[in-house]
Amino acid sequence: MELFGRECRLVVGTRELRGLTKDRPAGNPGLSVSFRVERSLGSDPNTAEIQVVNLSEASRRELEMHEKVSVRLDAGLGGRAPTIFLGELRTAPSTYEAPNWYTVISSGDGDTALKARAAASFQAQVALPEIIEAIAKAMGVGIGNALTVAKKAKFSDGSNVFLESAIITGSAKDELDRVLRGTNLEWSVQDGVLQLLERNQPVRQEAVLLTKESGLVRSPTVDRDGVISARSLMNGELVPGVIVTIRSVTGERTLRVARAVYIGDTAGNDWYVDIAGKAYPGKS
Amino acid sequence: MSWDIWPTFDEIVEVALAWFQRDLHTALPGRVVKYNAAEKTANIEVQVKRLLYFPDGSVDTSRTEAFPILPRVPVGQPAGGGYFMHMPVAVGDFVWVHVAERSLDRYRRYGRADAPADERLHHLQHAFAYPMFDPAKMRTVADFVENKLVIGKAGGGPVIAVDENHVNLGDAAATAAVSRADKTDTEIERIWTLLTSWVVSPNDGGAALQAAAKLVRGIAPPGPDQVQSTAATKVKAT
Repeated sequence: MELFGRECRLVVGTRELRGLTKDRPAGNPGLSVSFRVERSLGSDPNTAEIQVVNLSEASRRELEMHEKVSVRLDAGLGGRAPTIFLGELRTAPSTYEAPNWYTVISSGDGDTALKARAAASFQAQVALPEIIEAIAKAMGVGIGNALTVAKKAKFSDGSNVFLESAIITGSAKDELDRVLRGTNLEWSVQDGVLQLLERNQPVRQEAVLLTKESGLVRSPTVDRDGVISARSLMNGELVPGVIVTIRSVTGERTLRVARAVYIGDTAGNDWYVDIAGKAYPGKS
Repeated sequence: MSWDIWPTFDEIVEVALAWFQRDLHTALPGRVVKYNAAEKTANIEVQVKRLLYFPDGSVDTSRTEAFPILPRVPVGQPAGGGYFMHMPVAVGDFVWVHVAERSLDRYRRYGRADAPADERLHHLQHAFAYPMFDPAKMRTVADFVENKLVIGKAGGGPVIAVDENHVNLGDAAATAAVSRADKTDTEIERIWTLLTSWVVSPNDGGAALQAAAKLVRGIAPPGPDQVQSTAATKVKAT
């Protein structure tokens, strides 16, 4: 993995903002992007706050006019720029502070989905995956791994079905919270897709190895609650739900990433991702 | 509600409590849209709609939301001590939908105290219903009689009406008395006795009448006494 050569792409709606890194146009040398993207395994939306310096007047106007368009941010190193955030535009106001224009793009992942309402009735005994599917449909998100994971989930009584009829009604997000409360599942929306995980389980078993050579910036710390935190150079593989094995001078630790904060500035020093999570059993 | 810039702590608590209450269901009016007599459950259409709100807690007057049809809701009938009253349920009937605080699924299925698997609280999933007179029509009902317990079919059908003095059958205002079997039997016995045991006067036809009466009564061969009581076996009265 090359640890130099920043890559960054910002796409709002169908329009890609070019000239952020190596292909920065000579006519607009001040164009830059800084961002803070927060992603987690919680049911609250992932968020991004992206500041673009010196957008053209036409682009600023266009952004202010946009409603409910997608915001995609790709960032990485060494010619690879995976998507680190995909969400919906909330606001994009611009301000002038001589000599620059600053445009702050705020975005949430699954904003519309998390405000959606759900209403459905099921006449007969119904299994959990059917309920999840109905809620996901109401939310307008992709079904992702939800059905596969929900099929294996159990309520506290060991069953997977609502014994009599079933109803979902009201806020789709709240209903998903309530229905899954009785199971061992946690949910989040990642890049517009519903993600279900067994509590404290990863999205896949293969661990990402993080070392000094692969971008580890500083050795991990462990707080009083057992949360392991570490900083890496920008790395799109470090997303909530993955297992990361950190090898540093203090030894080896393995965690399941519960939260990842991506901090970048195409005109400054920041180009990091901060990860945090608890030790993944059996691997640390 | 509107805030100048940022809400105060009290305002946040007020909004949070309001949000909490909006999903805490207790009782709602409903109407039966389908009834399963075998399992005594109904699909019920809730007769009120939900208001929707902006994040600051103010009402979005441009939108309302219907509740989904409540499927297979158990319809209760009064019972106790091994006794019950059963009212037929038909499509279109009004019911009061009650919402239990926790899931009834496992109790319904197994009939014993158990921990619910569905952890939702005060959710419409946990509804049960009682048939009830439609409160929207109560003021127009002519069948009710003040100061009397009335059981009957609405719309002018026969009723049983009870007050502190009488039980009226057929009509709450009935004035004609119902006869009692023991007294009726006594009177009939007296007539039989008269017919079968009077002293016959020759040549006035009385002997023939007496002989016929005795035959019917069974005193004459082939006997035995064939007269039956007029008393019902399962209905008693004073």
